Amino acid sequence: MVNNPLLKYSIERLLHEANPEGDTFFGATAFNKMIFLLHKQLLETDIDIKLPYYWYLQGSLIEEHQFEEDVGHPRQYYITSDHSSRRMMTVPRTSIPDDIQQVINRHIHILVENYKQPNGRFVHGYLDRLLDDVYAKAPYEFQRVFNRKFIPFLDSFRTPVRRQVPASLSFADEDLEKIEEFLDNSHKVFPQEDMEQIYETYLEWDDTVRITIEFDEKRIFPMTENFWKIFCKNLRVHKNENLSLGLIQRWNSHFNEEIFPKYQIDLEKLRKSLLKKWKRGQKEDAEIDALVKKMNLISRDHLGQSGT
Amino acid sequence: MRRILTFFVDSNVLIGYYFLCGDRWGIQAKKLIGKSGVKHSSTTVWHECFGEGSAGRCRTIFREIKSEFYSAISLLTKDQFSPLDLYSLATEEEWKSLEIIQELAARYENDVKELVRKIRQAERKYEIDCEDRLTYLKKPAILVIHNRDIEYPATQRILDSVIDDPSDVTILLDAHHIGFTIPELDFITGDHRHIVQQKKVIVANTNISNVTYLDSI
Repeated sequence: MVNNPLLKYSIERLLHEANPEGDTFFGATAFNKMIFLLHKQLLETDIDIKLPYYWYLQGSLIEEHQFEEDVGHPRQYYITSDHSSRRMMTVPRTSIPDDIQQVINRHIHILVENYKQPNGRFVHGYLDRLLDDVYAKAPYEFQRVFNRKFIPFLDSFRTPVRRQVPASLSFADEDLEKIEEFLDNSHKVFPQEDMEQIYETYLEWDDTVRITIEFDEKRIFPMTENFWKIFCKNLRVHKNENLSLGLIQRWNSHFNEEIFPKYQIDLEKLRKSLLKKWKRGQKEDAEIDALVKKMNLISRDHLGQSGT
Repeated sequence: MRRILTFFVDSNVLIGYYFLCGDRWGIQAKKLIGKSGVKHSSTTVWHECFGEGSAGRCRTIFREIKSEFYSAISLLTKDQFSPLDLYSLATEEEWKSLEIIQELAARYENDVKELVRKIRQAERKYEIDCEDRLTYLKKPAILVIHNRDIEYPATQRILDSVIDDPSDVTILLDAHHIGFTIPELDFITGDHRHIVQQKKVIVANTNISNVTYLDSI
């Protein structure tokens, strides 16, 4: 059953325009990102195709259950597992008024052409451009800085084919400076007000990464990946459209009750072991020792305990 | 011949040790914890200080101080506060660490980067030192924590009549309970006014053999 004919038409028209033969160059990522860009463009013309999506690890992502409920087919009906789209030589007839169809068709044509060469083929590396265009519409600057700049910078140290972290990896001084610069820049744009719940954990992560690059540098890779996952699991709760309240509440409870507490425990354990290494590497510092004594004194005095 | 006593430690001993700061209280707490032989305490004492999971008074204040230091870093980095702005905000919001913020903000008034570096270093050292001491306390060869599942209403009535604070009475009953299996128990506390002054009543009516003021060990 089709509950959202406008969305169904837009999807099928997009596939017809982008990849009518169903070739393998137009997979899930391209589909997800293009339909999102179309949705955003059509909103500016007051046409709302009510795309059910949320912001996640690699930008916008279609929510599959709502999608199936809306268009009557699972997402896999349109995008197969071999990274090709469904062959769509024609677009099925629809009851959508002609004038609306015309607007949708025009926007799809302009959108798809934007990533094609004059010979009709997609530009080499068009997915990267598509991701940049999607991220240009991301709700937070933090997403752009972290996912489109910081993570790709770290990825540049991985092996080209298998994307592994080389066993012999050792950051040069300028790399370390660059990482600290990325961390500072990310910090400046972190959406603190909207994500107050994870802000303190983010600050702990940030400080722990700064210790990691001094004492256990390869650990920065899993640490960054894991933090991005946590951020995005919280992000999807806050930044989505056309999803059921029940689903958002389930994500929220799952995040609050399981995902986030487990992450905090793991980070705390890791931090403890890294702090031991950090402490061993510190020289005697009378200024810091005096500050720490005061911190302890203040802590104890605030407990209001009687002492000796 | 001098009696060999076994120590029961009150919460103020654990607090003095956990937040070790080099004053008399801290030195005495460290001296006691460092004495050879196992020390004893109760779940009431342990939970009061370190809670179950991450609760407990020590852990709560520890997190609050840590949180203030993180906020300072955030304000200086993200919101581009000057050291003076930071001090003003800490004053306005009555931060617990105000005195330290004031000192650091004045010292590094013209060098925000160095100020952030010092705050990070101090926070890390505070954190790992506290963690190390907590880990030490968790060693069964250092401190054994006992649970009490028996009420002692008659003893409680006597203690209630001379000690105002019910939580002090609870801890004394915990030690009394341990005293059935561990003889010659010396109750060590930093609370002179409520507990040490009632030494005679406590020793006469419980299994506690002695009450010692932390300052005099």
